Amino acid sequence: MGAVHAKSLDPLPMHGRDLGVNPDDMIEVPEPEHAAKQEILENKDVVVQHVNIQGLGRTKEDLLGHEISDVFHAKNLIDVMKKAHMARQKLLRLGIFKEVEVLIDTSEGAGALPNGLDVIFEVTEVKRLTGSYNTMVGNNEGSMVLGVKLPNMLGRAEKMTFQFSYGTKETSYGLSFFKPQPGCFERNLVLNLYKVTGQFPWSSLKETDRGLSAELNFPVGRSSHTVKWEGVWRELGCLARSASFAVREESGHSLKSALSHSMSVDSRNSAIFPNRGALLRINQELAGYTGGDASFLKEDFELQFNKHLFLDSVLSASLWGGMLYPLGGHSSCIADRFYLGGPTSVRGFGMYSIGPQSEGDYLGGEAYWAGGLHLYTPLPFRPGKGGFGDLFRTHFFLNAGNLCNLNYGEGPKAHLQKLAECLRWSYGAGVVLRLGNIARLELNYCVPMGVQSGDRICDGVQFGAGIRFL
Amino acid sequence: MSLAAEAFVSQIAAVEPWPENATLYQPLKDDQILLSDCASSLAVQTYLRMCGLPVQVACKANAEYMSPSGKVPFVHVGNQVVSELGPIVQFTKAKGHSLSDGLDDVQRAEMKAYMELVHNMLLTAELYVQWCDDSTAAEISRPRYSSPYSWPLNHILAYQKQWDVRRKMKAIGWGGKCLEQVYEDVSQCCQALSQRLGTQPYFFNKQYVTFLSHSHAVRSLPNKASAELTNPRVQIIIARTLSELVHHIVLPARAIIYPQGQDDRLGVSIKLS
Repeated sequence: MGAVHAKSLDPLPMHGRDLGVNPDDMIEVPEPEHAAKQEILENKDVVVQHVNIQGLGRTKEDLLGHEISDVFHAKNLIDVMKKAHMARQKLLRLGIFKEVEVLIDTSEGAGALPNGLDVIFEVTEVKRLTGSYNTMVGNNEGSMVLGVKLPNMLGRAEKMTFQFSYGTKETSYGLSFFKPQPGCFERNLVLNLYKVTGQFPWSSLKETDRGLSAELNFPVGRSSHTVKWEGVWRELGCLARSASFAVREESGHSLKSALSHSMSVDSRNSAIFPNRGALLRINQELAGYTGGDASFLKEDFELQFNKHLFLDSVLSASLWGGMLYPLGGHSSCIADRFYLGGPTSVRGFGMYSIGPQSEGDYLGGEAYWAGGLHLYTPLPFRPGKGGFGDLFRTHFFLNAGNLCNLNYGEGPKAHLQKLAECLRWSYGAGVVLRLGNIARLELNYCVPMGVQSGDRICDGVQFGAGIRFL
Repeated sequence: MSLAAEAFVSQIAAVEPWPENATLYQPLKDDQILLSDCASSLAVQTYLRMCGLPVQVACKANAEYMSPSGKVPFVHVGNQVVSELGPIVQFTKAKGHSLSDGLDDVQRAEMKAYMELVHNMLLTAELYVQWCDDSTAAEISRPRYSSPYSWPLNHILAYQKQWDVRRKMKAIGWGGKCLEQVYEDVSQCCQALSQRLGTQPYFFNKQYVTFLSHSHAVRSLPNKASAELTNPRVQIIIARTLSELVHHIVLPARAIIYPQGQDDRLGVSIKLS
């Protein structure tokens, strides 16, 4: 809970430290027993008169008013402690303080009420500049990653981060500026400038993106929304001389200028092993109306339900889907299409190796859906219970999905029929490990079914690591 | 190409016959293609036609990036992709079609020398005039090169190409040359070719024409695209010194490439003295 110091309201013994307080000024007669003292603390009405923040350097005070305003509404001492604790959490989540200590004291000075309290937050600001340097070694390549962060740049919790990665195969960088609205941290603006390179061996494609984006995040009720504009200069090329001609035809430069909106409602109690709750995420992107070459409308959604069953096991059902509609008569670009398959989506198939392909290179598709049904249970015989063993789960899964190109001239019934035919599905069991609160590792034994010609399967043991799993 | 790659390509090439749907890719004809690319493309088309190999021409805005070597034109034959004249000639040779079979070793060496002369002199001069001459670059090359792309990508790609070509010119020693010197070099090259041709109908025996040189000559003559060249001196030089060349090569070449008289590019007739 951190350091919370509370000086008691009870008067000190007469022969103790001399506070210069006349015993007749006491509001009530103190009880000598400890148990009775507690009772008094809980029932006693108090008024919070002052809330101070000490230790501010470059932080502007108007930023913090909203975070600490709730403390003024506390009615008794326990309430004060709870609200002070919550205010402390709010101050820490701004990311501008290294340490926050709360001190609750009786009011002093002129105008001090007898039941008045002062709450003082003693803060230590983070340094102006923090840097990090890492070396990474990957598949036949090594790189040096340099990170620089300027937290609380202008005093109102703005943050500027810069990351630069210089490697044997590629160079990439990213510059990001984050500005929250003073008084409402969840409403914020993020500006990004980046260059990233990606290699996609399943399509024999390499892609270099140089872009900038501006996004606005804001909550509406229980949902959080993001509105973003992104301008990207994409350069596509063949990864090997043996790439198929369909991929070779997509090589070259294009410019995508897109507006996107995304809405997310998350009532799960955890991102990785939720016991209950649901997640709904809907994302749409419109490209072409703000300039650029690429012109399309893209929709995709993600749905997940979790239900706690008997004996610590959880049943989880998820559904993903998406559609890409090219506008203006152009055909879609390989970099915009959807991909399916692999340890993070339909297990039992190779990475992104489902759907339309040409000479072994997967081209992606314009419409897809994927569903999964999972049963998570603790490890059998629960080794390491209460500690390390809680990071693991066994899971039994059933995955299904399809990826194809739709003929947009036909009606919705024809689309549904096309998505339903040639269904790929798989089942199996495995062990899942949680990494922090973001990622998970899986080791599964999979049996793929409904395999179409052209799909690449990975039956037997499959390993997967990632953030977003079906 | 490395020796191993060459051997590999020849082996694969030798197996299959020339298919019906072989396609040659070049940048967009009306708006995008530049003089040097057009000349190279014409050279390949003429060669294939003289060998009797059918090829369709497809125009794509990203042809330069599709090509495995980064240069146009390239041909897609079966499931092989081969770019530039030299490798294409070797590729067709591996399939058993060749125009230089009747030549002896001395003639073949001479032919190679003249081809190198044309390639190094005329092609490099074309690139120089297109990209290193500021007015040509600003008025013709950059707008044409970047015409398929939208703002601001068009400016970025055009300037990137210009820097690349200028860097290459510096590397081969042409960076210090001025336009007059380039015209001098072109003039000398044309004179050498003209002398070699003399009054014969072809450079080397009947079957072998240095199609490369005539394709450059054809392209350098006034037409819709190059009539916009700000300095028409290049055309005059070539037209004057290549009078024989024009008579014996250009006109028959036009007949080969455009058998139905579809060539609508020559807007001005040439007066030859």
